[in-house]
This record gives sequence, structure tokens and C-alpha cells, in this order.
Amino acid sequence: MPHRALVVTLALLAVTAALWLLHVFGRTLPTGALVAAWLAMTAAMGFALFRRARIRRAAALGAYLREGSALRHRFRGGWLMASTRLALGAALALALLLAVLRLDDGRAWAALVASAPVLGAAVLWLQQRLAAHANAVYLPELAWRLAAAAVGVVLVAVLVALAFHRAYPALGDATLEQAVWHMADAERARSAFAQALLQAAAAKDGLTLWLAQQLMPEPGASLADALGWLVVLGEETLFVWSYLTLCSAWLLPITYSEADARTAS
Amino acid sequence: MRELRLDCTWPDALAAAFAAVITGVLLWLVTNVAPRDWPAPPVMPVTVDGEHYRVGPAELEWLESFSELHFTAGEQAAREIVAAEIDARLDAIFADARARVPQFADWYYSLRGEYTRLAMAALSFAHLAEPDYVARHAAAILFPDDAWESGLAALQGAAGAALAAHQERVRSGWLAEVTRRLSDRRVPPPLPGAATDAPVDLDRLLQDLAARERAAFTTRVSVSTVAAAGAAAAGSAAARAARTGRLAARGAGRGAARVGAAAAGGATVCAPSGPGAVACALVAGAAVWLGTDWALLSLDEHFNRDELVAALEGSLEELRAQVALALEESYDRLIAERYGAARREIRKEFVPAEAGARVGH
Repeated sequence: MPHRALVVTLALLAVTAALWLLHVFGRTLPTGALVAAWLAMTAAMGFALFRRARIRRAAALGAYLREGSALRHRFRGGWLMASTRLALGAALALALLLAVLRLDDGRAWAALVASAPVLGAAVLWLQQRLAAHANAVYLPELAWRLAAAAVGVVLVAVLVALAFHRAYPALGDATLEQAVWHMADAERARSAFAQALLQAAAAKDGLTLWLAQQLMPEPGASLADALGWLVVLGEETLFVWSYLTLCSAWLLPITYSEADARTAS
Repeated sequence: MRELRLDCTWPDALAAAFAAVITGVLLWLVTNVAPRDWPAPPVMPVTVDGEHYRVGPAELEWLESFSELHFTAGEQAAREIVAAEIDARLDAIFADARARVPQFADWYYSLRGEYTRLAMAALSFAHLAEPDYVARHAAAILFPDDAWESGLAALQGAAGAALAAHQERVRSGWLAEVTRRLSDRRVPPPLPGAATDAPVDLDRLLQDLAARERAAFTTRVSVSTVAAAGAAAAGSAAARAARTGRLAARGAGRGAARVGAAAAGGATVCAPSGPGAVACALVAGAAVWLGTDWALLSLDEHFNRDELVAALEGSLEELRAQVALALEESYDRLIAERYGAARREIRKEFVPAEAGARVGH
């Protein structure tokens, strides 16, 4: 299915390109445009999370309940599942929006761009390879989870490595107030809403950096050092998770349509 | 089981090439195109009292105009303070002088005073003594023991201290208002080693002003010749008062009368004395001369003392007004010079601020 692979690749590249455009012009956009972008991302991610949750639920119900049981329909996932996934999607969309606006490292963007065709090819390849073994209802989700896990781990490793080699401001001689204020003050945006969010994120970075440089002035193998990098790892994981969730939303019409049709019945 | 087809057809190759081109273009874009920054608002760093502030163009304009107005009002208040200090100190100095006017009148209408004046006039005529003996003696009586110099020095010291204290109040009031107004614009100090814009350093401005004014108000002002002459001027005024009007005519009349009375008195008393008549005439004539002089002086004092005292007091009042005016002019020049320097310092310090204001508008 090379044309399908092309569509998937182009779809994922479109997601990455859209995020990059948001990065390039996001600070000059008015609040309305940013809120619209956030709502669109929330809708897409919430919808994708909901659909995938229903597929997982259908697979679980198929394992525990008899064919034709009314409970299958009752527990297939309704408003409660939709609302929790929408809330999760809103939080992930906000985290992704902020991360995208603040991701100034061109190498990180290159990694995201490079991951798009790899991810699309991996999903399709896994779908074909696992078709003979996996439950047809669960196949798209299984293929996606395996592909996303593999690509996600590599992406997180790349982003953490880039963070490790990045230059950070020296805050060893600064007070906590100085560190937080000056980090937050460097963030500018046309939208007051966006600027407040960016400054909050920058203040968090200032706090983390200040604590890191106060607690572990010299890089070493201490527990504090490990905890500091765990924070970086957590941030990058959240970013990659939200990015892949948005990508999965774009893949829904292409790779999940058959499974959706089956779970909806 | 569906298999991934790896055999490459033309459409497949074209699709792959298209995806590769799109990916390549996107890679180039993300690594070469910088994000659009939103410009920071035009703000100027300001340091006051060791604290750091960031203020916008409107607040900078307010800060500049408020500083000018505040120091201008301080200048006006400084003039009023100096005028009050000059009035109070000169009142005390001239009250003492007025209290000594009767003492000068007593001396003036005494025989000793009369003959001292005559003797000093004769010596002065023969270039054996300084002229203006009356003026110098009047100065010695009205302002004894360098009372004028010490009084003037005390006045300048008190005025300098009052001006310095006032200036301190002006500065602290300015600082309190600026700090209150900018309190919500306070920011932490710059990061150590970070390159920052040169701030509007109001601490430096305050230090410069304080240094200038300490030097200015603790040194004595250069007063005019009227004020510096002081006691001498007062003596000259007293001498002029004594010489004016009928006083001088009375003095000339006394000279003619005493000569005639002495001659007549000596001839009358010593006519029967025989060989001792000449000596007798001299003694009798001298006695009559002195008596006549004393009587004329008493008569002169009776009719003219009040006029002399009034003339002397008037002269002192006139002198006081001249001295007060001279001192106020001297201090006005000093205050105008110092506060003008303060305003120039303010404008100089706010030049970057004006540039910031232009950017903001």
C-alpha cells in the first residue's frame, strides 16, 4: 500500500509542519487564534484518545464478555469516557502548545520532521506484520502503540541528548527571585494569555535551573543530579506523548476506520 | 495476510520521491527559519535607592517632569528659608546696635567726645591721623568686639545649615515619592555578569546633587561690599546722620560762641590781677571756654539728641535693609546656581529616558 504510506507520511508531515508554523508565528498571533489552535488540538487529541480508548475497551470486553451480551454495549464507552479523554486531550494540547512555542532548537524540530515518515512507515508495516496474529479489532491500536513506543523512545532519547548538550544561563550566583524573574521576563508574546503561559513555563524552568545549579553545582553522579535529569526526561516524555497523540488523531481516518466501524457496532 | 509491497513501480517511486522532497524541504525550513519574536515593550531600567525598576515612556516622562518640578519647588522654598533666616539674624544684630545708639549719643554730646573729634579732625587735617574718626568710633560703639563679623558668620552658618537640612528634606521627599510611584515596577537586580542597558541611575544623580550642595551650602557665600563692610557702613551712616542738617551748623556756632565767651570771661575776671593777669586770664578763659562748651553741648543735646538718635536709627534701618537685600541676592545667586545645576543633572540623567520616550511614541 505505498500510496497509503504516502498519505500517512504526508499527514504526519502536515502535523509537524503545522506545529512548526505555530512555533514560528505563535508569539505574534492574537489570543483568539491561539485559543482556536488550542481548541482544534484539544478536539483532535480528545477524539483520538476517545476512539483508541474504545478500541481498547472493546478488546477487553471481547476477552471477558460473551458475544451478544448487552453489557458489551453498556460498557463500550460513552460520555464519561469521552469527557475524561477530552479533558486529558485539553491538558496535553496545552502542554504541546507551550512546548512548541518554546522549542527553539532547530535540531529538535529536525528530529520531529524525521520521525514523521518513520512513524507512518512503522505503523503500516506493523499493521501488516501483526494482521495474522492480532485481534482485528485491536490491530490498529496495537500497531500504533508499538510504533509510537519505538519512535517515542527514540525521540525522547534524542531530545534529552539535545537538552544535555544545550547551554543554560548561569544562575549559581543569582537569587531565586532573580533566576525566576529573568527567565520569565525573556518570554514575549502578542497575546497576553500566551505570554502569561509562556512566562509561567519559563519561571518553572528558572526554578528548576536554579535548584539544579544550587544543589549540584558540579555535574556528577549524585542522586540530585539524577533527579534533575528525571525532570528533563519527564518534560520531554510529556512533549513526545502529546505530539504522538496529535499524530494519532491524524491517522484515525486512515488506520482506524475499520476498527472504528467494528467497535461502533 | 496482507504483505507490504516492496517492489517499486513508477507511481511508488514518484510517491516516495515526493515524500522525500517534502521531508527535505521541511527539514531545511525548521533548521533555517527563525521564529518571529514579539518585540518587548519600550521600557528603561531605573535604579533608585539601590532598587531596580523597569518603567515605560509615560512613567519616565512623569519621573523627569516630577523631578524638575520638585526641585524647582525646593528652590523656591530654599529662598524663603534663607530670607527668614536672614531676617531673624539681622533683627538680632541690629537690635543690639539700636540699643547702643544712646551710648553713641552720650559720647557725641560729651566734652570728651567734642574735643576728641576736634583733635582727630586737626590731626587728620595735618595728615597725622586717619580721617572719618567719627565713623570708626560709631562703628566701635554700635558693633563692638567684631559683633558684625561674628553675627554675619553666625548668619551664614545658620543659613547654610538650614539650606542643607532643607535640601535633605527635598531629596528624601523626592525619593519617597519616586519610590512610592514606582513600587509596582520594581524588578530584581540583573543577573550577575549579564549585559544590560545602561540604567537611568537616580542614585548617582542624588549623590552628585548631595556632593554639590554639601560643598555649596557649607562654604560661606560671597556677600556684597555693603554686607561685608557691615560695621564700617554702619559707622559711616552714623557719621552722616551726625553731620546732617542743623547738627553741623550747631557745631560751627559752638566754635564761634566759645571763642568769644572765653575772651570776655578772661578779661573780666583777671582785670585786677596785676602781673598775674595773663596767667589768670588763661586759666579763667579756659574755664569759661569749657563751661561755655559744656553749656552749649547741653543745649545742643537738649534740642537735638532725639533728632540724632532718630537719624541714627533710621540709618541703621536703612543699612539693615541694604544688608538684607545684599545677602538675599547673594543667596539667591547661590541657590539658583545650585538648583540650576541640579536641573541640568536631572536633564542629563534623563537623556536616555527621553530616547526611550521617543521609541514609545
